[in-house]
Parts: sequence; structure tokens; C-alpha cells
Amino acid sequence: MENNQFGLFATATAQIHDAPANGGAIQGVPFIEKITFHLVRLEDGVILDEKVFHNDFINLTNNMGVFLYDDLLAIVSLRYQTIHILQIRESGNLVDVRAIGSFCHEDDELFLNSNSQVENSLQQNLPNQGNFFLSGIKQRLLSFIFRGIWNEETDQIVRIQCLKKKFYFHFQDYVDLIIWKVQFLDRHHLLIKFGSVDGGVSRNADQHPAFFAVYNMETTEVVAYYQNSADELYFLFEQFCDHFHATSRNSMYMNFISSHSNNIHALEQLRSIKNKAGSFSQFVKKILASLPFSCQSQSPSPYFDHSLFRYDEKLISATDRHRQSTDHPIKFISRRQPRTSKFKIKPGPEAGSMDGRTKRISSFLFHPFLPLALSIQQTLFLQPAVVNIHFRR
Amino acid sequence: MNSSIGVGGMPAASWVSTTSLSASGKRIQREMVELNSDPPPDCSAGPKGDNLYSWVSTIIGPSGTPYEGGIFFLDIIFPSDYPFKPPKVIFKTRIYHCNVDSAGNVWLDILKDSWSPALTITKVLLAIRSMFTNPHTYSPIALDIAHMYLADRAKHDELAAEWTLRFAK
Repeated sequence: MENNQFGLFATATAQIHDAPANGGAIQGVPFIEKITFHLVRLEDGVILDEKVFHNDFINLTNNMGVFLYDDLLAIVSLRYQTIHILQIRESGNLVDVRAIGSFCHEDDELFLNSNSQVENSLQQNLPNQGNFFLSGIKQRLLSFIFRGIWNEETDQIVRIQCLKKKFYFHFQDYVDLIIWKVQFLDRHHLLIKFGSVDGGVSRNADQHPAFFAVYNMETTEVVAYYQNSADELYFLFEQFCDHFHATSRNSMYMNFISSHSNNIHALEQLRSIKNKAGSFSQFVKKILASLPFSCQSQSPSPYFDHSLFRYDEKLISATDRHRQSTDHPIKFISRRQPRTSKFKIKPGPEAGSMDGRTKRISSFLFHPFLPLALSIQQTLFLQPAVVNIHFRR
Repeated sequence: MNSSIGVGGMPAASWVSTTSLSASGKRIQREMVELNSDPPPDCSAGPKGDNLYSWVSTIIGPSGTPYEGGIFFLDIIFPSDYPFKPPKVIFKTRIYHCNVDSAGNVWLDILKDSWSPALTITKVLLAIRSMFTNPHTYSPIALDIAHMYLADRAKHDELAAEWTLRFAK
């Protein structure tokens, strides 16, 4: 928000696997009894509002299942296949704006209930069959794909052959797709990644086929749709990467994150990966696996500006991720002549662990613009994490 | 591929390869060739995966009707003794129509008592398409919608158009 007065925190109870899929939930997704989002006033730590999800699954790890853009928050319920859009009001309230999933418009369900049909007695004996229809978002997606194929061909006979092969044959696969991840592109457009149930909760999601859709939540239209091996999407991503980084209007410094679209060094890096890659389509899949971006996953710290410093991306990068730590200090080397090492970060042995042989994982959290960073280090065993604050001398 | 829907209530695994097609399978295949060579306007259909007995059809809401602009998906399930029994047709897209129940099932006489083995999938699709332009108000399943159609046509069309906009885009 404008004056950084609120913080948003999430708490969750333990995950329960092998959960039965009841009440519209999808099979194969674990559940968490209670997930709570707390809106906290940072000034005094008072919880102003809460939003609770019961028996649901929201991937909180690395903000996978949530995305904050300006005052809008998108939360992905994997279990109930719904994108909840909430708004953080200046007054300190979390307000439900809409839920995208079974329905698309915020009042579709109300409209349906107020227009419910009165039917023959024959009908009323049947159990509730409400879930037999395609969900709202699936209807939009399928009709977009259908229209694409229909309009591509003008010849009736060729068209129906195309539909048979490309659409009807795979129809059930499309129906079975689930929403994996979502990000805002702007205040109206969402980039939604769809995939199979197996890929939604597994770690190596890039092994599974996936699809991207751009969805306008105001008009409730799908405006674009790509496979995860689509060259077209890759070229858009290569040239206009910054458009995929939706940054809130109020955090100016978020505009300074180095990307291959705004930084020649980052572009060189991407090109070198491209040249080393075995096949182009594998490379595209690998690169597009980073979409949709996770919210707040990139540090805007100037230390990660590729025009200023060079550093080993395997050890440290602007992307917030756990890495295996080494005992060697991490060097930041100046891009300008003379290309000398400007400073080092030592997460090494003095960080607390006595035994140099135990594997440690570390993650770094850099201040957006001040010259300091936190390192959080964990051993693989359940020992308390060590947190160090690094200043530049 | 997908074969979750079994043949006539049997598990899908119980029907084997295309080389040993049953009489019903052969008939369905013949109808598929016929449909593909001369598809009715705004209609198309094809089997889901490699299960000949489970089809999907798409009907584009005909222009000049309140269903214009909608894309309607339907499941067509053939019984194992097709064509002696009619196929089952179910809307997967919500529709405001007096011949479709709240679960999407189509209630047309040709799919019930008036079914004849001489009918084909092309004819079924044509009948469903004509249902968009001329609802069968004399044998409705959704009585209130039929009443609305007869008593206040403008209001009926307005509602049907709103359903199309909300659920069939």
C-alpha cells in the first residue's frame, strides 16, 4: 500500500495427505485444515483483519499460491480450483472482490440461484448434479481453443477434421487440467498456468505438460493461450520480460530488477544458456517454467544489478531461493575497470555450524535499497536456523 | 488416453481394439464419416480420445437467437446396443432452455420414445440445433421456462441471452 503501513502474513496447520476429495474438491491434492491470512498494521503489530480458508490447499512456499499487486491479492485454492481475488482496503480490511473458478462474474452464482428452474417431480428425485457442468473458467478456456481452431480453417470439411484431431480427441485432457499458479499482469489481467493434477503439487513441475492462459477478469475472457513449449510465448518473454514482472505502482525500486530485456549482461547470460541447450523446445520449456512469476521473488537490491556487479548465479541471485551453501565467500566483482572484487559475503563456518561437513542450505534476503542483507542458514537436520546480518564495510 | 466413460455402463477396458469392432462400433464409425463429410451448420462433433462411444459436440449459438455468441459443449454417449437405443445427450455448458434440465440432460422426443434406429448423429445434431431456434414448448422439462417463453417471449429471450453471456462465452 501507499505508505507501507500493512504487512500480510499467512499461517497454516500441517498438511494432510491422502485426503478424500469431497464436496467439489479435486482428487490428489492434499489439504490443510486451516490457512489464515493476517493483515497486520506494522506500526503496532495489531491484526486488523483475517481471511481463513478451511480444509483447503494453498501453496504458501515461496509465495507460489499467492500474488500481491498494488492492493489486490490473488490466492489460488488448488483443492477447490478457485482464484480468490481480495482487496486490501485503506481502512485495514481484507475484502473479497471475486472468486474465479466455478464461476467467472462475481454475481454468477447469485444470478443462477435466483433463476433456479422449477422442474417436474421426476427431476427433483435426482441427487444434486450441479457439478456436471464445466466450470466457468474451463468453459472460457475451451471456447477460446475451439474458436481458434474454427476460425483458422474456412473449409467445412478440413475444419471438422482439425477439430476432431486437435480438440475432441484431447477434450477430456483439457477438462482435467487444473490451475497451478497465477500472477497479475496488470489490474485486470491474470497469467494462469494450467497443468495436470500430478504436476500441481510435485516439485518438478516442468516435467509435466502445461499451458498458459491470459485471462481478463473484468470481461471474463481468455485473451491468449499457449502451450509451455510455444516459441511465440518465449519470444515475447525474451523481449518483454519486464511486462511479466507486474510491479506495484507504489514501489518504484521494483522497476530496477535486472532482466534479460533491460540488461545486456542478463541477455548474454540467457543467450549462452540458449546456445548450450540441446534442443530449442526443451530450452523454451525450461525457461517458461519460471512463469508465472512468484510474487516478491526477485530482490530489487542494486547489488544484483548486472550492470554493476558480476556474481556466481549458482551461489546467489536476485531470485529468492534456497541454495546449498559453500564455505567459500561469495564474491561480487565490479563490472567496471578494474574488474576487481568489490566485496564478499561469507556465509561460511563462522556462521554458527561447527561441523564443516554437514550440508547447509542458505537463503539470502537483501534490503531493497539499503546496503545490508540477511542470510538464513539451515542444516538438513531439525536444528534452529542461523540468521546473520551482513553489512558492507 | 481418456476412457473413463465405459461402454453402456461397462468398464472402458472391456472393449478391445478397433479391429474387432462390434456392430454398434461399425455403425458409429460410419456415422462419423457421414458427419465429417457433410457437417450441419454451426455443429461439429468427435470422439473423446479413442473411445468411440463417448463423444463431444460443439454447437455455436445460432445468430438471431438469444443463444447467439455462445459456444455450447455437449457430451454424447452411445449405448452398447446403438442404434437400437438412442444416444444420451448432455449439455456441459449451462443453458436457459425449456428442453434441458438443471443437470444439462436434453429432453427431446427423438432421444426418448420417438427414437428410431434410422436416425443418425447428424440428425440428432440437426434436431438439437433446431431446438435453439424453436424450443419445444409443448413437451418441456423446465416448465417455468416454457411458460415464460409462451407468456412473455421478450423476457424469456432476455434471460436466455444473459445466461449465454454469463455461462456460454
